Amino acid sequence: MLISTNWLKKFVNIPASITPEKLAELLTLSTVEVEEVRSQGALLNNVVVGKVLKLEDHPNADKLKLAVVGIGTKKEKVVCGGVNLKKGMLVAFAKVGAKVKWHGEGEPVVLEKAKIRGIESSGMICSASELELENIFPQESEYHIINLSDVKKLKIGKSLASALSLDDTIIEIENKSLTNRPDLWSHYGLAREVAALTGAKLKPQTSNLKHPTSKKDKLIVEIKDNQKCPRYLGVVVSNIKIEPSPMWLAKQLEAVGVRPINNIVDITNYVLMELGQPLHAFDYNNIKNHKIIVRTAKRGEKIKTLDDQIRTLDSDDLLIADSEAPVALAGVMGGANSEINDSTKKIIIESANFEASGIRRTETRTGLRSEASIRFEKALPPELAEEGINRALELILELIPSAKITSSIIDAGTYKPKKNVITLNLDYLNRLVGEDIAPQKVIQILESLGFKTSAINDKQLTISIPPFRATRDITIEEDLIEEVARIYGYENLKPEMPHVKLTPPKTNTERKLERQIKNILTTGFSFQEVENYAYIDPKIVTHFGFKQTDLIELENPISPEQSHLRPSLLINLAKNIKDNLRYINEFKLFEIGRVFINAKLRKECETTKMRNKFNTDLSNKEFLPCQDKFLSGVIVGNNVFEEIKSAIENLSQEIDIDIQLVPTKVKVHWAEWERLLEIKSNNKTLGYVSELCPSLRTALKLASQVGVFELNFTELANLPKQKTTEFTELPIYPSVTRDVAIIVSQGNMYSDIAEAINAVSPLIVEVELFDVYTGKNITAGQRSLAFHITFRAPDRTLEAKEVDKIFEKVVSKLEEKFKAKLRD
Amino acid sequence: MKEKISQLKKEAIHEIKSSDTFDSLKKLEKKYLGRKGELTDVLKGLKDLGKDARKDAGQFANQAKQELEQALKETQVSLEQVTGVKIVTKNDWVDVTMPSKLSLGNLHPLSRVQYELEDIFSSLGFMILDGPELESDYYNFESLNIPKDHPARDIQDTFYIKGKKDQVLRTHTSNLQVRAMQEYGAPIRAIFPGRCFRFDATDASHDATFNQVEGLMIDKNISIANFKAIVDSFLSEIFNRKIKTRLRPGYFPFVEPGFEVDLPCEICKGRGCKVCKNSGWVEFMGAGMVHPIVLKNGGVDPKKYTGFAFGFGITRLTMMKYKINDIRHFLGSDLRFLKQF
Repeated sequence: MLISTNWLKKFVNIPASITPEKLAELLTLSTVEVEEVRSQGALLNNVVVGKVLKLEDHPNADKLKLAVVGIGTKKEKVVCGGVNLKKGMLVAFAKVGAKVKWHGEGEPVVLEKAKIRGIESSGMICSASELELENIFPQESEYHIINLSDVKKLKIGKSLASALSLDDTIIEIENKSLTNRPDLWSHYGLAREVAALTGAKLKPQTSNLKHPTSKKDKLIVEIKDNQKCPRYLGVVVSNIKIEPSPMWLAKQLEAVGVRPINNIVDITNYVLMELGQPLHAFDYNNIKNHKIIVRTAKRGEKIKTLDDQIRTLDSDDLLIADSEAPVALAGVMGGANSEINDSTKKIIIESANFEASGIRRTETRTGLRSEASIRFEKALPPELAEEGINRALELILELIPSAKITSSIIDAGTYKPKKNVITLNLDYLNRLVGEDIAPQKVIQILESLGFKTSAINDKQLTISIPPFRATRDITIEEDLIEEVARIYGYENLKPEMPHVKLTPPKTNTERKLERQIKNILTTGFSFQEVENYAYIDPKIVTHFGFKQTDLIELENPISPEQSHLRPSLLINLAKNIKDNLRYINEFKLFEIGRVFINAKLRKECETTKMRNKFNTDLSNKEFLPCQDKFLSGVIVGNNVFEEIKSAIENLSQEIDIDIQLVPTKVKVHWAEWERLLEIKSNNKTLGYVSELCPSLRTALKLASQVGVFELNFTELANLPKQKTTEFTELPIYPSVTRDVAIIVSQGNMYSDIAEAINAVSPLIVEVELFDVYTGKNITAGQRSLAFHITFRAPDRTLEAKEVDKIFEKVVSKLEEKFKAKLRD
Repeated sequence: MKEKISQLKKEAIHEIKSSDTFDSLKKLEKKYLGRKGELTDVLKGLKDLGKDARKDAGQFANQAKQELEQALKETQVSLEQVTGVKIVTKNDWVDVTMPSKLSLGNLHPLSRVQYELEDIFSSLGFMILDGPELESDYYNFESLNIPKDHPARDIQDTFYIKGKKDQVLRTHTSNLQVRAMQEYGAPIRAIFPGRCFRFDATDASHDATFNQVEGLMIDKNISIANFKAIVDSFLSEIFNRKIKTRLRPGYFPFVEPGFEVDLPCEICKGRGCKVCKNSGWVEFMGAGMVHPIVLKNGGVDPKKYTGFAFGFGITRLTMMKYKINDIRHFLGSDLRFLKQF
């Protein structure tokens, strides 16, 4: 929103010591965020009124002219291309050193002496856009220069800014910071803040309007929905003459970015900007039977709004209608059918109050927002409607001497003034702020903002809330504390560390484990952590074994390729592989993140819900879909299966959770079934380690082999800690090692063989595989495995004979169980 | 001549055999067999002898030389056995500048910064909490004093779940405020780092997915002055320089009073530049004193307890820290980007 400091000065005497920049800082620190401060004449230093004394053709260019411009005592020779340039014309002349926007675009640049097609030019005759004056001098084309000849009382050589009285400074306020302050969407409201911040006095609003009593023209107002429209004021004004507004009014509106249209529309906009009350003017003759009905729309009812759009309405939308048809979308925009035009002689002025959330719903449904609706949606006080209509009538009578008020002011609605009182406890105030603020100071601050205070005792005040703050903004004690604190100044509060009990924070074991795993995978196994979007393209999920019905869909996705939530991390990781293979051949990636699966399809979600309190609603009536965290990794390169398996095995060693990798025949959609291990703990399946199966690689066009693991991190983190580290005594007696090399058929698993050896005797303390061989001297389909077997007794030195006996048992067991042959 | 050689050999072998370090052995080799060594000198003197004498003495000297070399080698081997150290000989040259095999992976930059934050807050006694990204409307909005049709919902363009009126992708990690109070009660100190989602057009500085951290501290007598002290101290830790923030009013329905917290602009050191729009300050986070309605929703008695809450973008902080100019790098999973951290 744009605020004119000149306008503010009509209501408050801003001390001379407070520059507009200082004012902006005060507002930012205590009230609202100021985005920018700009003085209207910012670009007009060194720009003066000039007169074209002489005009000749440029010898080297058809479209350029040579002009001699008089600027008081001096004359300057310039080259100019203005198509409307004439001898004797008054122009906006930029002297060398002035700032102009080249062709009306980009940042302003400093004008220098220059040769244009061989002729020296010292200065520039400007177009409106070159000086950012398009609002005042509408520009026909970029080749038209400003013609000042019609402007009265210009002195040649005088600064253009003062010649045009462009002496205002505009403060631009960030609208978002005004969300909670309906009272600040106006100059008067902001002036009240300025008064409180600077200590200056706010001028009261006075009106010398005599209350009209005429009954000449009929006007009936009927409100059908008092909840949506608590108050509606209307009045008829006759003998109107529609014409352009006087210069002061037009300029004042332009200063705050409102385009002047005609006197009546401009007056309604002026009141809107001054007081914050939206008004509407209807052509009296276009309102059938002169009866205004405030009612909700019929479902599907249509209205053509002022912007010439036809809007189809909902039964929740509020309308202003006459006895036949809607004439306005209440609080949002007028209807095209009742618009005033140049021949309008008699008008109805509407100044009403509409309930905020209803207006917001209509805005959301229609996508239509206006200066009126953005104010109504913040909750305006019904009292303001009366101030608004009075101010409008006052201005109409002032601007249009012939105008007559020809009805009384109709005031319809069930609105009754309310008393809003809050008790402010000063001890609580000081406790929440963290500083002792003197009661006198509290009272002074609140009074300066328009609150009425009275003391109950020396600890408590009764505060009356003025209507302009009472709608939503100030409803509880804390709201008042904010008022005191912000005007007192947050910068004046002394920082103080809280005095609290020194308790160590409860460890979040899940987060701790997540971090531990990330550190192991990155520093231990050279994995790179990635983070991917949570959305996926539903078209590719079938490749990964999901049906679209398993997925959770967004109501409003950014694009069709991002319409569903990921049911698995692998989908985006597969895309990462493809993207990165353009630059690098070997790499390892992992991600930890939430995946989302339709709750109906997962029975386990019941247990998830029990386990994770964060997954239920307060009332438990609502059930959030399963969104466990998963951990997935991929390896692209050589020996991918061995590498990924070893990474997972080492990882499980490090995190003190007992995890087994078990061969399985389960069908895992993405996995190569011949190289598949189940990640298990306590008989619970956590995930799988494998390679990406060839069919999926074909579908995704991935040439390289890809090792993959995927496991449910949430499940993993919530397993009971099974491993505890405990010291074992170092062996006292020496051990004996024997080697055995056997030839077995492929298909016999290492793990089974090692386990069988181990089981032969408790004196076998270690079985270590040290060689695997296939090739020369070994029949195809077989392989040789060689083990170191270590024997030790806890209580004595083993004798060779004893060891030999056990070793023989080992050999015979291997022969018997695995049809193993000893290798010589 | 022969006698001279014999004498030299005897001395040399004695010295070699009694040598007990590799260094002295090397010196002895130089002393006798080096370019200016004693035996070398003798061999050089052979050319002055007569033909036969030269042949005879030559053979003798060569044999002595071999004996010395043998003794050197033997002593070296026995020294190696004693010390267990193998000595690099000339043919074992190593190019010490060869590239190492670098094999560390990297944490994602967002994780790095998040962990720094977690450590700072842990040291101040804050718990680290985690919660759902797909959230109920209640925890994301209603419980935070943002009813339906509230204008504040405008600012937070929300992703809704199809077919579920009351489920959203969380727009902030503030969704954990009431959850945390319900779980742990008061007093409480906690931060909630995590992913948030906003329906927002993507460009170099906006993404529909980003990371945020929310903080909450509730106890008896927690004040704005306390917040100022805590916020300045943790921001000083994060930025590794003394930070004095600026508080100004800001509106968030779940706090009252509410603040915007500005940092002094690092680019211009507060003098004013393009980045800070000439104000000298950069908007960094939203904060405020927890609204009594939110305390009540969390089962905390607002008459007994007060507290503050704050929230800021981890993504934005990471961009500031590493001078990353395009937010889209974060979730692009491009190793050329990720390898830099």
